[in-house]
Amino acid sequence: MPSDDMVDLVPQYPEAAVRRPRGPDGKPLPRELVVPGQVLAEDGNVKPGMGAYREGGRIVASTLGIKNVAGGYASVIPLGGQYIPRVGDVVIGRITDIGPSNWLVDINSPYPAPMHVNEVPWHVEFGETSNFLKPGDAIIVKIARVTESKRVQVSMQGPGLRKLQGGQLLEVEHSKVPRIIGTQGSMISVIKKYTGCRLVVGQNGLVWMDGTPEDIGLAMEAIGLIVEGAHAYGLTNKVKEHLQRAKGIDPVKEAEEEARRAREEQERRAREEAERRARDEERVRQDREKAEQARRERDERDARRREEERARIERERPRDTVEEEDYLDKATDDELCRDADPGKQGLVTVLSPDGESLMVLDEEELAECPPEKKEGQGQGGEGQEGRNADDTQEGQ
Amino acid sequence: MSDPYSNMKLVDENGVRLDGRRLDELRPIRIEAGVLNRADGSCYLEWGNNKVLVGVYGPREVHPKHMQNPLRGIVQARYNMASFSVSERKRPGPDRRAVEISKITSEALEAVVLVDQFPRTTVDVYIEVLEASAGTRCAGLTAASVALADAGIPMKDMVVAIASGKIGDHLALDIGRAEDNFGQADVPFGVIPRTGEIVLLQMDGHLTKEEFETVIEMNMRAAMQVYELQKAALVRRYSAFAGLAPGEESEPAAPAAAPVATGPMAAAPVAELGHPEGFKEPLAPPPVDAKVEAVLVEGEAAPEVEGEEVEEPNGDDEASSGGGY
Repeated sequence: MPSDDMVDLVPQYPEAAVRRPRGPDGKPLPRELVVPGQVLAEDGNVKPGMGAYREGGRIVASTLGIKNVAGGYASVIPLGGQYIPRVGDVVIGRITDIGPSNWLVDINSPYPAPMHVNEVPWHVEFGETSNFLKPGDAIIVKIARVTESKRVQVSMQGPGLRKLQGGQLLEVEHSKVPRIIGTQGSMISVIKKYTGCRLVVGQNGLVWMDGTPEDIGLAMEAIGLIVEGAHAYGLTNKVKEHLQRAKGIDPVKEAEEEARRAREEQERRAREEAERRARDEERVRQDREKAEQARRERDERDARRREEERARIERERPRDTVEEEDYLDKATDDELCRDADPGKQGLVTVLSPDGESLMVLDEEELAECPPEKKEGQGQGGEGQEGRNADDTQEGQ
Repeated sequence: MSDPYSNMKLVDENGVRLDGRRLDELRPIRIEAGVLNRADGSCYLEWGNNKVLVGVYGPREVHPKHMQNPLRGIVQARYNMASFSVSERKRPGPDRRAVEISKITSEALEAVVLVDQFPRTTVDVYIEVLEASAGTRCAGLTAASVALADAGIPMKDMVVAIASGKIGDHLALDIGRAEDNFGQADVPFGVIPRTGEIVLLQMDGHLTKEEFETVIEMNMRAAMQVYELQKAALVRRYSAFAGLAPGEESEPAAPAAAPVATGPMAAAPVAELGHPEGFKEPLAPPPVDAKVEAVLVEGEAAPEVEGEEVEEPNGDDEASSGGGY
């Protein structure tokens, strides 16, 4: 079951949007209210943000609200107006109509938002839509698509998106939602803590809460306080005090209790941290030892292998080379010739006079060959005549 | 001449009109924003003896659907005169005149509302004339733009409308009832004062080209004054939102107008804009007449009273904001 915690679901607003600007003397500056048509900035580098537009080199407010010029943008934090859906917003919707393959969801905006059966976490057969969601059911949905002509589609697929069972809905202005959530969800967690209510805040200004009737009443009161004093600073503390009073909690005792719990928690964490660190260190040490051992073994093995290799080379190489050289030095040509093909009886291998090639002649050829013609004969047997004939023809 | 009123003197030798105004003087104007809790935005305006109440809803879905524009929103203004708004009971319901005024008002407002930001929607503007005394369409348009801003609707700027004309052979600013009935010409005129963009222009009667240009010039100048009143009304309505932290609220140096007196608003006298009753007196025209001076002195002489009166509407504002205006 996904958590009820809207803090997880709702995108956090930049703190600068609500933090009060301070003057050079450290005193908070009064916030400036602007009306449509009021010039926000004359600087050409500033871009128009929400609630502002560019007119020539100037940025002009288009909505009533609080002036906010920061980070290269001039914008207006609106004080009211209708909720205009934006993709990704998590909103609370109410089913207003059912089709065979879709539901129509009222998201408290000028645009109705259809939700197709493919966008729900269940498998819904055609025409079976009313078995899942009926008119009046409240659901948490996310704005899936918004076209240019503001055709909206919502989806119920995603963490925390679901049908809301029981509880109550409260409608507030969507411009107050950031205050209800608070910085990093501070306000909403205060309300949850003291009322024990389950609370979901949609970006469209619908708030769902569930708990005992008294707690719901208290939560509503708190939200009323926020809406009423949305412009005030220190609102979270104000709401906290109100809830503490209503619940009869002594803030001093509670603070002590909280401090004690925080201390315990801190100690526990420190202890755990120390244990964890010790474990980590031990593991690191063991790992290091193991690595060292492995390295040593590898080195030894390598050294041994290198030694063997060297020995083998020593054993084999010198003998071959020495014998060969000696033999070549000492051998006569005849011996060489004979040795060249000792298996063939009756054939004599002779070095050609230029010493480059070997000729193989049988003994008869050798005998026929006059010593000075040995080369010519040596060129080879039967092809000799033909080649001579060719030469003759060429000569002729 | 057969006209029994032909010798009616609308302007005396000293250039003073029937109601004691000079030729270039506006009637007293009072604007209050956010007076209705159920409407998205609202405005109550008194302009001389005119009393106009405007409620704004939207942007919201257009019905009937065929009037939807897939590319941009529309503005639907409805001008309606209450049956008790004139001395002889007016038959209720829209007549030719009301339909015409509704149309030109819608068109004037559509020129300033950023309609392309919310396609397929409508902004409904209901202008109810509770009491009529010449220049109701201008009063209605002036109030409507304040109500639109109050509703948080994105708009380029606010519109000011004003009707000047020719009475007793004199050109006069802001025609009153008798002047309208017995005068020679009447030029209702709507403008965005900051840019000078004209969004409404009609004429009843005859003017030479030079006279017409002078009338436009007069209207332009007076529109700037009304514009400041519009802004001041919104600022007064929402000053709590720009106000100080809870601990500082009770400080004497926290009058509503103080944190927001910027730009052209800073130049406006506080007695006129900051005092809840201050806008009842006529705008100080050059030269300042004795009546206005007296009120100014009164305002200064009773600062404690002023402080109390300032606080109360602020408290109301905060309380009413919880109701989801």
